Amino acid sequence: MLWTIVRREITANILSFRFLMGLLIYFSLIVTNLFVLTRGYEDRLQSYQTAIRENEDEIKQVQRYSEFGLTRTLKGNRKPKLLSIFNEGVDKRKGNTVTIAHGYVPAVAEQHGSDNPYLNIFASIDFTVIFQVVMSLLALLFSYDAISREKEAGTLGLALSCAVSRPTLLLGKYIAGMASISFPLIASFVAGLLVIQFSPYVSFSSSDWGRILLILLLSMLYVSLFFLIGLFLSAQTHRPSITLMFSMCVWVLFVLVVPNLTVLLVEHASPIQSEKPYKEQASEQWKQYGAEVKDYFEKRGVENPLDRASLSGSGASSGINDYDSGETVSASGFRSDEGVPFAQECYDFKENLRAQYADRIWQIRKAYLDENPNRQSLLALNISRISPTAVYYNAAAILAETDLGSFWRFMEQARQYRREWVEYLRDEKIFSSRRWFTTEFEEPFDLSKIPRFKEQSESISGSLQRASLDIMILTVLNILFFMGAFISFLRYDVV
Amino acid sequence: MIWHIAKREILDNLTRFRFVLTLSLVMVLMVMNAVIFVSSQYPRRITEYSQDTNNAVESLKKRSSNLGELAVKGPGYLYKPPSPLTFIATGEDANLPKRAEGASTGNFGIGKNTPDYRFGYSWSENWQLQYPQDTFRKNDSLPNFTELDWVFIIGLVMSFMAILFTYDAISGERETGTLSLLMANSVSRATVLLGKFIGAFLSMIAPLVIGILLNLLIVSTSDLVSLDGSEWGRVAIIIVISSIYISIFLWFGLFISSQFSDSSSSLLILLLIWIVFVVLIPNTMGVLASGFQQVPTKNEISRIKKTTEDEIDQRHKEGDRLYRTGSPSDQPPKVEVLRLWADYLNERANAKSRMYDEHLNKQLAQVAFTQQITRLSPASIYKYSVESLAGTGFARHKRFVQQARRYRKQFVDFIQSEDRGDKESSHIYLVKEGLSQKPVPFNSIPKFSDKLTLGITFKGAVLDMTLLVLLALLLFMAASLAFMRSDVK
Repeated sequence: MLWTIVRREITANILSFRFLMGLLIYFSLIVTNLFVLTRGYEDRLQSYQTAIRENEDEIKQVQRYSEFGLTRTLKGNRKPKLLSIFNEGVDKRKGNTVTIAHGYVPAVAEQHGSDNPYLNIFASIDFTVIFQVVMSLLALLFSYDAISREKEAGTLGLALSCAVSRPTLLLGKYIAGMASISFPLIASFVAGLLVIQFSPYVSFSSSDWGRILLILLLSMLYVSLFFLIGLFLSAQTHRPSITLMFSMCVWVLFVLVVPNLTVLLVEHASPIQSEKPYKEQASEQWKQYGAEVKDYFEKRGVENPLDRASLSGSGASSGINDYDSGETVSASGFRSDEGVPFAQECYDFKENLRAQYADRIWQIRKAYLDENPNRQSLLALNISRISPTAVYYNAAAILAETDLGSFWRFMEQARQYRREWVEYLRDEKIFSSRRWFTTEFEEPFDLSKIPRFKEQSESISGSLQRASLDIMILTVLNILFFMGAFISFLRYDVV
Repeated sequence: MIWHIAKREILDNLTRFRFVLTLSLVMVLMVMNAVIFVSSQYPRRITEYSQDTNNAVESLKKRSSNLGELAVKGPGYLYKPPSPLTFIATGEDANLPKRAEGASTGNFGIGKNTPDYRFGYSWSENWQLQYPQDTFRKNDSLPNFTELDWVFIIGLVMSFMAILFTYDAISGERETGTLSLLMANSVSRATVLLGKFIGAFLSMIAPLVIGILLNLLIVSTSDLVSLDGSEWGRVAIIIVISSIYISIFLWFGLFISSQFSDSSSSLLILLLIWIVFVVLIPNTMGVLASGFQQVPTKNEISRIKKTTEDEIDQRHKEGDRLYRTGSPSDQPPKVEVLRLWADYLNERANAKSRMYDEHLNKQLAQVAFTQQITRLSPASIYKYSVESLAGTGFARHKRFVQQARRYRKQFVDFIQSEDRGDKESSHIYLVKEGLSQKPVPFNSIPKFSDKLTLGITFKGAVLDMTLLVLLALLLFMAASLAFMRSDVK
């Protein structure tokens, strides 16, 4: 009996005008958008490859190790995520290249590639956004009159006068509705994947396929929720036009108002404090560092490490910028190597100390980040979970590795890379090498062994674990609204 | 007769849920908007602005003790004043730079002790106008969100409601059979359509006006925000534009509604078209534009900057001309040396200044191009016209950049005319020692100002306003024609 109902409903849906039009518009939307998004991804991929190449070129041009301190710093580049086509998250906004030096612990990322921050005034739309806006509306439009219209037309009483139980009828309507919606949903996924596959730059790995499948399932869960909300509302009233208004109200609130409102409220109710005191603390530390270095030099009876060397030219450029400091020195025209070992000792002390101070200053900066922007973002994220739309977006971002958490992971890895780099500098005794400040006195100079940055992506199970809260919320809401619809329908007056 | 129909429609609407929904949504959102604006948004922004400008004035005062120094170091930071009408259209102002920078960036020196040089001299690079990305929003990891301004409430929520008010205006009557009954009386179709429009229009404008009045009441009771006559005038124009915008969607709803015989189909079509034009088009175009028009990357820019600098340095230092003739700081200064240095410093500053300007122009052109495409959407046209009038958004930022560039010239002119008044100066622009060393009266220094008047904002909005009116007319004609030719059953 269930299948008869399912079949009847599906046929009615598919033959209806709204289904056809919905499908058509939705399809063209997805395909054009994915085309545009794929192009955007290609651009970002190219600029990533350029950035990698430029980093290698920079390394090749290094003559003295101290250049790594300021003028030719190493870079850690983040590969654009393929699934950012499905969900952009913060992938584009948060920057993708970090500077690595022993005097600087990476805390923010910059943007490589074609860079126009003014474009930030346009919100961007990805697959997930189209989905959360269009599919939720379609789901509501499919279900708002499922019960009240049949009642209005009088067919509900007829159907129930046969040997059909109410649960069967409701379940039949749910299954059929979901099946009819799943059709455009899956079709659009497949069409989208085809569009993406046409790009010569894209190749999916098996983990990508797994993630895509998970995003598809998640999307079904989201659509099902809105379908059930519509069904629930439909069982509350006896006139489809009233159900419609209620459904639209829910839609406007959940999809348009709440996600924007929560962030706005958090931004105003829980503002971030000025960074100034933290910067002052940091500059205090750098002053202390300067004093300590000066002290050391005074004790050794010089003003500058190279004072005892007899040389004809030297230059230095140094900079302190809030939390970072660095120095590149060059010396040439040594008349003898007298004083050189002394300079080596001095630089060894100075640069080791700089790395230590940078670590200490990172703790100050970390405190600022944790207590201010990061705390605010997490708060906004948590409060926005009032709306299932935000829950869905967040879970999809986690699965696409484009959420804030993934970005923080990348930053953590960049810091890990810096630690490796500092260890390398220490282990290879680079701070205390002559090559730190001069190209004279031939010494082997092999830069191929320098550690390079490699980003480790998160395992699927790791992502799933992080997304589990959001997935659970969606599931629980699904169950709640199903039960709600079920109970209301049991008590529904059919004639 | 029209009024009779309109009255019937209004009375019908008043009892409907959609009216209650509109009224409560608009009221809640409008009050929220005003409260957030008055209690946090505006105070914070205005405090930050006045702190910033005070700092800028302080540092300008310090520099004014010496004309040569002032000429080299420049006017300092130029801030964009926040608009008191931000609550109407935030224009993503928080994501746009809040200042331009007219400051010297580099310090250089050559040492006396180095055997290659005969003198020691230290100097600062001549100032250039730069455009740093220093924005009001401090946290870039917040999820993307739209501010809850009038543009959101009217552009998005009210346009959606307009569809809910009209989707069944004709198709619904067809469904129930009342349309043919109505037409059996001695009413023309035009009268029916116009009556339906007026009914829907008034029942939408009433909640909107209530919401707006509440909003303005809260805003005007605040001590911080004081709107002057020009600003009230702009608010009035914005309200007129908003009603034109709403009527676009009402006519559109009537147009589609007259094409269908069942209201659920007309609703679906209306909603899908609404989503495409109001939600998707204004937002997807950013990606598209960055694909079409490339802006050089940060690395490219810094590379070009370096090669330009190197090239200029090399040319001027050829044969160590610059470093051997003498120092500009010699007493008394030699005119020939000053000329040499002024040429060198000017060329560097001008080349860099040109580069910054060009880069910014490219970026702005890309955004302007994107805005052109988004004008496909009436919601975007509405947004841009309201932003122009409210003095926020991208167009306003572009004007700020123009003003800053105009001020650059004004400042240079001031320095030169001031210098001409000092007989002891060698009048060589621009090396610090070549100009007067006297203090400058602080009050005589031209100050940067960027005031908006009703005229300017209105001029900026004219194009978009015309587009909106045309669109409304077009849809009015479409709806009338379609209804004339449609079947009443």
